[in-house]
Amino acid sequence: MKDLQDKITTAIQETARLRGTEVIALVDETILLESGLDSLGFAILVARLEEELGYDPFVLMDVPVYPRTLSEFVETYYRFAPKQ
Amino acid sequence: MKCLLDRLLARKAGDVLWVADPVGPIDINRLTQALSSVDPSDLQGKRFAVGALSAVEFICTLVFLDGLAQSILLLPTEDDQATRETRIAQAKVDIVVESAGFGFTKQLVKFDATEPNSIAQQTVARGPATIQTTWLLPTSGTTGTPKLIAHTFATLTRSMTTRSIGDDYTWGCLYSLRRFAGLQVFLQSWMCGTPLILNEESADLNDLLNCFINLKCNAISATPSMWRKLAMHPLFDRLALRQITLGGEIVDQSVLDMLASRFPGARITHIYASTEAGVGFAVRDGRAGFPAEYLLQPPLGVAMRIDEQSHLWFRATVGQSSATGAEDEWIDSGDVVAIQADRVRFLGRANGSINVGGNKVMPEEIESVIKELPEVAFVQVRARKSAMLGSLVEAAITPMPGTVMDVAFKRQVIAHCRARLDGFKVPAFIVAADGIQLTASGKLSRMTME
Repeated sequence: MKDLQDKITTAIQETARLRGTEVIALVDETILLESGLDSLGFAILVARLEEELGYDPFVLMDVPVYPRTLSEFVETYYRFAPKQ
Repeated sequence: MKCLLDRLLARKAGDVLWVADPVGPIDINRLTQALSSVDPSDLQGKRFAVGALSAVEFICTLVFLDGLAQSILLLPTEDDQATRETRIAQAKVDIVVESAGFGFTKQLVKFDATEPNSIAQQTVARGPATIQTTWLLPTSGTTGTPKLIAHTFATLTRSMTTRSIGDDYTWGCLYSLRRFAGLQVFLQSWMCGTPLILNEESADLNDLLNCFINLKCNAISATPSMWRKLAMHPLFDRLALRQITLGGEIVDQSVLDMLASRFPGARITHIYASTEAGVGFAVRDGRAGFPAEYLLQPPLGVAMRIDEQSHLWFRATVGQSSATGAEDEWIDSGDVVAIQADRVRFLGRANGSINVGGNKVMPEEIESVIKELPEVAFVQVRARKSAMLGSLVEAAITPMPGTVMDVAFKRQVIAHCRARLDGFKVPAFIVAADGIQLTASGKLSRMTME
């Protein structure tokens, strides 16, 4: 989980950098839409993570989930991670 | 009635028409003798389709059939069986010419080139043309469903220089000769008496460049994508070009600048043409786009207008078949343009846009911005599927030799795009290109990424 969280926070920072926006310090309670990423940035983030992790939880889920905070976002990825 | 063969009357016996492997230089006498080897009497008025043939055989067949055949359908060699059969049925073809064809190549090998002072044998064993042959050209498919466009010798050569230029130039052509653009090169060289190098479509770029250099080719016609590909080749700088012609795709400023700096003395011509509308105009001022005044005063008489969706339209004389007669018709080129000061600029293909969360993005616009970077040799912008926004923009780059596609370089590309483009147009992904894929007509292959 810690490893996953690190990967996700790095990806958020990288994406924000790519989009030329400032990212506030990321903590569990950070509200994603206030993190500095807009909807395009968010779509890029998910596509990046799919490339890195090999899956997109938002495609895999049957019931749509809308994570609000960073911890909920990480949790979503954790829940849909392929079983080892 | 005018046909291809008539043009030979204006030429001297020893004039070289084409240079080809393994036949060597082909002059009028050699051609005439080869053409005389086939009895045309049973072929008159028939409908022909021309399939896969060697370049020499193909060109000889065109000269032989024009004025003799009712119609000539030029079959794209990359067609699948079903498409091929549909086209053949559509054109009501009687005879398909392919593989060894009429055997003109075999005949050419038998005859030597003419002695310089001998008399030209300009009569093929048939009288003057009695038929105005209809040329049926399949569209390249860039504009959607492929269809057959009817032309005649007159419509194909409408905008051409007919004054004799002779052997000051030797033309090389990177287009398939059976496509509109390739035919234009062949016909233009034919009309002004300039030798044309005939090469096989499958020829390897290295062999082709060696051939052009050895035969002192000084005029080449190709798409911007082909020119970029050529420019990356180590033999490119050994070409001694005096005429550079571009067409078939959007000609951007960076490719014009690159060609001007590599060949300072050459004349650079950008031709805007389509199989449907024929040649619209030619631009020679070294700037991308075309003068806005062409909209009011079309230089070649082909009227143009821009509709409310910014598509460029042409008024073309189409429907040359004997059944319908000639008529004027407005044709949507499918190109999206914008007027910027005194210039009309091309933004991209209307049907090639990428939809990023409801925003339309023209890949060509982004490509043109990325090409401004001197480290970029080639770039293709395409859609990458996104569950959230439909598509995201991805740029596949081939860097110049010596440039490494590392994180710093990718950031530099993004930063450059951010400074020049709206946020949704900035590529979300920069990847290294696998290779440069061009279509049969030399255009950048724009396959949808699924």
